[in-house]
Amino acid sequence: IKNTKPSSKKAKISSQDIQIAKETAELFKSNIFKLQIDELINELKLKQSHCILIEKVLHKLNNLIGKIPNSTPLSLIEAQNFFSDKNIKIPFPDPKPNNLNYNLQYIIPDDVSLVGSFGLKTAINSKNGMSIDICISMPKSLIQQKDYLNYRIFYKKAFYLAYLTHYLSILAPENNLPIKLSYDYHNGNKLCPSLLIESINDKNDKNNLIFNKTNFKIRILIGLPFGIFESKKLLPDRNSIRIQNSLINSIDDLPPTPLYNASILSSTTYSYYLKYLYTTKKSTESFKDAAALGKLWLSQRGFNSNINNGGFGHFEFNILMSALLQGGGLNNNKILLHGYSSYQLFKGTIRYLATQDLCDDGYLSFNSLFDESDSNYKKKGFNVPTLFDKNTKINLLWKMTKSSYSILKKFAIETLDLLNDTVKDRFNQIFLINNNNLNLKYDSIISIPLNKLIELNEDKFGSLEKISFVTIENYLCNKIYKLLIEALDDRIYQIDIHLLKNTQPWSINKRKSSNDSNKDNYLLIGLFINPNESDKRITKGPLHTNKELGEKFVSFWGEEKAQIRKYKDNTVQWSCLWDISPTDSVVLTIIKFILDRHLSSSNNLHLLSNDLIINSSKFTSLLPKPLIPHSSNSQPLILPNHFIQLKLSFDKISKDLFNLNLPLKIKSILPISSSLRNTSIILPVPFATGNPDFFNECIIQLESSNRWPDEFISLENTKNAFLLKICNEILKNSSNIKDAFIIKDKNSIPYNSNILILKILTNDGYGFSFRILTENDEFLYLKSIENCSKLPNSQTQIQSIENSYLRFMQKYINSVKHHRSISILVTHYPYYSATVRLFKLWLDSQMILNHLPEEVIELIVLQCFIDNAPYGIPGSVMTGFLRVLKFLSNWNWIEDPLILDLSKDFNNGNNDLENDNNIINNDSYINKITDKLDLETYQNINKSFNKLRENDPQGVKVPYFIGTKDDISGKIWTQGISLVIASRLTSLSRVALNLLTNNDNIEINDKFLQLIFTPALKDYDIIIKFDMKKISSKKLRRSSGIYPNNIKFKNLIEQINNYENDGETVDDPILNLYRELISRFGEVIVWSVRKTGGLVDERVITGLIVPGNESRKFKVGMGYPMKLINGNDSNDKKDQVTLDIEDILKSCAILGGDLIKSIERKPIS
Amino acid sequence: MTTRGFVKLEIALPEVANLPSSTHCCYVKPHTSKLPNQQQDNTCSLFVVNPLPQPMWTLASVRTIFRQISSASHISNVLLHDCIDESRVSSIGSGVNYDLHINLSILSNPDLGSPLSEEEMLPFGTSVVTFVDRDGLELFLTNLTNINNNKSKKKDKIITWKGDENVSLGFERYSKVQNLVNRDEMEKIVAKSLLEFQNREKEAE
Repeated sequence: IKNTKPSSKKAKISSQDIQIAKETAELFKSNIFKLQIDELINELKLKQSHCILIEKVLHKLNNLIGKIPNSTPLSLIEAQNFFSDKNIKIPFPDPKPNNLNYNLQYIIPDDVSLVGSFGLKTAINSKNGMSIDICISMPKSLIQQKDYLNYRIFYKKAFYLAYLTHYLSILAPENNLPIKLSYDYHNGNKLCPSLLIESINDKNDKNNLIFNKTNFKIRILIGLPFGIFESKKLLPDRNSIRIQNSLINSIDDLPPTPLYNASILSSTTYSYYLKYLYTTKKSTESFKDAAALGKLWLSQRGFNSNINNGGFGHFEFNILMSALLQGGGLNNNKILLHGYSSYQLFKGTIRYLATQDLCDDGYLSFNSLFDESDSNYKKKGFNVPTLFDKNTKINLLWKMTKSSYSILKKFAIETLDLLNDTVKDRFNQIFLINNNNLNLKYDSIISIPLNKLIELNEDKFGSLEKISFVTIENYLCNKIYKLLIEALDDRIYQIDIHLLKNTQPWSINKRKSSNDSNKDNYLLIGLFINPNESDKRITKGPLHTNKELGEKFVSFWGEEKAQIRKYKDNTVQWSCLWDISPTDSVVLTIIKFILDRHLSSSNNLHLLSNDLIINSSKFTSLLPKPLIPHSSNSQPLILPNHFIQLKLSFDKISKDLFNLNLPLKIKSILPISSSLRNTSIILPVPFATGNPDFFNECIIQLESSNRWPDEFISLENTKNAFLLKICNEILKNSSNIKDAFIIKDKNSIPYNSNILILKILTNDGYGFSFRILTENDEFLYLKSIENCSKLPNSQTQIQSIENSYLRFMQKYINSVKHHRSISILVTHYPYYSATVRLFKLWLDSQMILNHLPEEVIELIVLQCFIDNAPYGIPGSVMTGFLRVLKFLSNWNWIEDPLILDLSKDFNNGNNDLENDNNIINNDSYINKITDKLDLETYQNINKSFNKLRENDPQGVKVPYFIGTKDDISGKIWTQGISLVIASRLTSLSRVALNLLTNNDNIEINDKFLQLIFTPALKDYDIIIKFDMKKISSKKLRRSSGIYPNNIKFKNLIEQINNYENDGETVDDPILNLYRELISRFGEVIVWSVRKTGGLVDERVITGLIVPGNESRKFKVGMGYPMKLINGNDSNDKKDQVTLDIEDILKSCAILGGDLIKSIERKPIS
Repeated sequence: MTTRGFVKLEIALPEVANLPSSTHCCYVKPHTSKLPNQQQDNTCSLFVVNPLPQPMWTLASVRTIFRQISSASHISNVLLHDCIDESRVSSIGSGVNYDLHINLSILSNPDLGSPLSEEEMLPFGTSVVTFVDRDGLELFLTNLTNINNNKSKKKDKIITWKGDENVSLGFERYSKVQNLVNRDEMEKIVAKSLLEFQNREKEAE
């Protein structure tokens, strides 16, 4: 279970380190953090050899550009003729020009210069390579004042680019420059084609300028002279495309064209902003490093300057940082100082993004002229993300949308929280974990085939929409965003809308990229769901009396959906009522409805919802459905009624028990059952005795007494006398009881075989089992250990008794604490319950569930909820499930302790935003009153971990360490978990995760998902198959309370209305046989079985032979069936015995008798 | 053929499910202990290593097996300390150490604890089969040695396990609630045990 984690070496924290950390916290979060940042920045540096090579290429390229001859002024027709025989097209943007009353021309550029991060020397290494931007400035003489109107300048630029491309395609091979050329939209902006230059990739070519291995690309941008147009005319609220439209009377009524305007202005400022940033970099020592951190942070979250990737990248981050160095506060107060460390610059910028609203409430206005340094946060925003440069009149966030801004802000808030964490090291989550996987990133993702969407909505993309949004994709993204924000309101936190694929570079012999690329493209709606609101059944609208808003409401939702409803407080409101579903969140139901209503074909013949791909629902439908009549088969996913009913029954039986007349009163009844904390795989259905979790375990605490015997057998027997008395009394006195009986508990605690358990069946159909805890139990275990230590050579004995003590603590003490913690947290994280249930189901399907205490599983799943960075709290079962897999496939249990903060204090996080300047102040009042994990406890847990691993470096005894406030030792639940099982879980998680998060498969298909939930039987040495006539799966499924599969007549499904067996028999004998096998042969064979037999058609028990028992010296008390090795006449084998597998299998077959169909053993290879 | 004084006892197990018939090997020798009636020259008990597991190794089934070797040997009692650890939770660590005899009762209270039962005192995975008389034991061992040493005899004389009709296996065994307690009997046991403890307490005072 080792893993390859990015190379962040975690130092151990000592108290002295803490002291130093406090002192250096001003400059860096901590020394460790500084070291980590230094190491990271080193890793991010571009390779020197690559830079030298690419500089040679750039130099040569510059030479070639200088050789390109001027053209004469050409009319459109002449220009097109010029290229007609040259296999090159002019990349005119849409709308393609038909005739132009001005000329197109190429004249040697005014300036050729490096721009972008390479020019600024802030570029960093990145997996996907990097582009080196070159700006070629068109000479002033080619441009007229009015060229900013009606695409004129874009047409001129396009010709200029094509002409340049043409000559480069000739000059490069002539001059041995090994390059290939293609067109590419710069930052996905369809108004701005650029020329992409890549190295040719030919291993046989000996040309020393091949730069393939550098992973660099060169991009040629056609720039315009700075200040060529009057920038006021290109403000975001101005119109620059004058069109005729029946709805428009005058030019003033035309909609603004912000994208168009910004595209022009920004191409006049490529070099200008490079200089601006360069000056800032010069004055701020750590700027470069902070820029590198920013770029990495953004790219790990899927952000860059491309319109389709949020429109906020390295450049925008750097500009923001520069603006904040000039001011940024309300009164031009500086947010960042030039002397700041890289960490402070980064954190300050993140904090600004997290805390200031640059969209609705206000915006940041700055001036890129240093002598007029003036950077202010201004109230009242423009309703679009705005970072406004007063000098150039550009909103530098013009490529962002409200949607992408909200996501950026979300990440900034989460990161700020991590940066403020004083207890744990969060470096990984901030910088190293990549959060770009669609299925992991969002709570739910809805994919709409782009072709279909466009086909259904082409008619809505009229000329006015065209000039505002430029492309139909932009238009649709915007429209869907607006629709969903209105429809979903506070059911969601954020919505991310973008296309699956960015537009790809295309051949220089085409004008634009072909529409074919839409074929496999999807419009993605990524949802961050607010689980507290998402599943509410009613959408409330305006008061009935408000006519105007009412009409709007009706027109939005449709007359059929919008109803007037009267509420308990007597208000009468427009409302929509939604069905609840066991698989879908209401959010998804609403989305389908509203997309159908507003984006399907106008005649509604084709509903868009039929084409949607929604993976998240597939995961929830894997959860076993409860057996209830068809008519009422719509339980919500969050807190189904079954759990509530069970709790009511528990309350009732508790009351009956409290009322009994006993020599000592019952002080408390403490539940420890997974069903009572909503984490059981199968929902508790009344009378479903086949559910392996049917009996809900509880612990009875009696009033204290000083008369408990101080010897084990007598203590247990005294407890047993109570239990027998309780059994008799409750049978006599409670009308609520169907039956009660007592069994021996031989499993819970080794060497203590005198424990009894009372089992009760209630009339309402639930089962409970009770055991008694006294204040003397723990004392006796400790006493035994103490007495034992006085005996000679007692070390192994002590270990065994300590083991008994540990098992006692698990069963009686820690299980209660665990139950308490989980049952509170389960209400705070609405999707926790279903996620745990699905995860347990998966483990069971892989035959692992029985090998892990359920408490361990619950804690591991909880990790993804309480320690959720960089993902956030899961808002769907799918993300919950996948993130658990992600955690398990990456976590290195040998080197890292899992430390969980089971705090019930959920509001503290918000205080961090305000108090983040006092981050180190641990003694603050807030820290004292919360139950949050404090630094001291954290360190203590860490200490236990280090001690544990000193003794058990490979994790043989304790493979998992899970420390909580309830368990500082970290091993209460995990001691003794088999390392083999632990490793298997890690590798299975990796396989499943890889298959499920492959971004190439937009749809996770059902069969595939089924496969993930099917065990790999071929991995086992032994397979015991059962006679399924003897134990019918169908019957067991029903008695487990699970809705049948493959049924024809839904109306014929019968509910279970009473106890269907006699109380002395069980529904699933295989589990009893399994218990017998592990008790008898568990030392030499690892047996596995599925706990929820009702879900499987073919039952099996599998076995893995534990190696190491092939040859031992004969002795009495071997502990397993053995036989002498043949040929023991020769001396070396004399008295050697071997584990007798055949004999074990025969015993299994005899014990299992008529249950067993066959026992197969894998041939020994 | 002996191993450290043990004599091999081969028991044939019949075909079951898809498994062919097979042989289980036990190793036996006279049982000796500190007790005066269990000395090498007078013991009536046989010590068996690697017996069959509990439901297959009952007084009745042992009698059937042993009768096949010596019909004149009568068995009065079978003790078995099975290799079983019911506190094992799947593969989550074994709770019981087969090398040790641990008595929590005595450890918790050396003065008042109860000793382990005779069965529990045996090593794990062993059994003691007591014959009615010494002759029975001797006859049994002679016959067994004869069978082992004579190959042709061994072929003819296959000693077979036949089960115990009072012991249910398969569906009948496992579809019962396990370890169900008869409440009336249990009440008596508990009462008796507590009374004994009180007496011990009084004695100690």
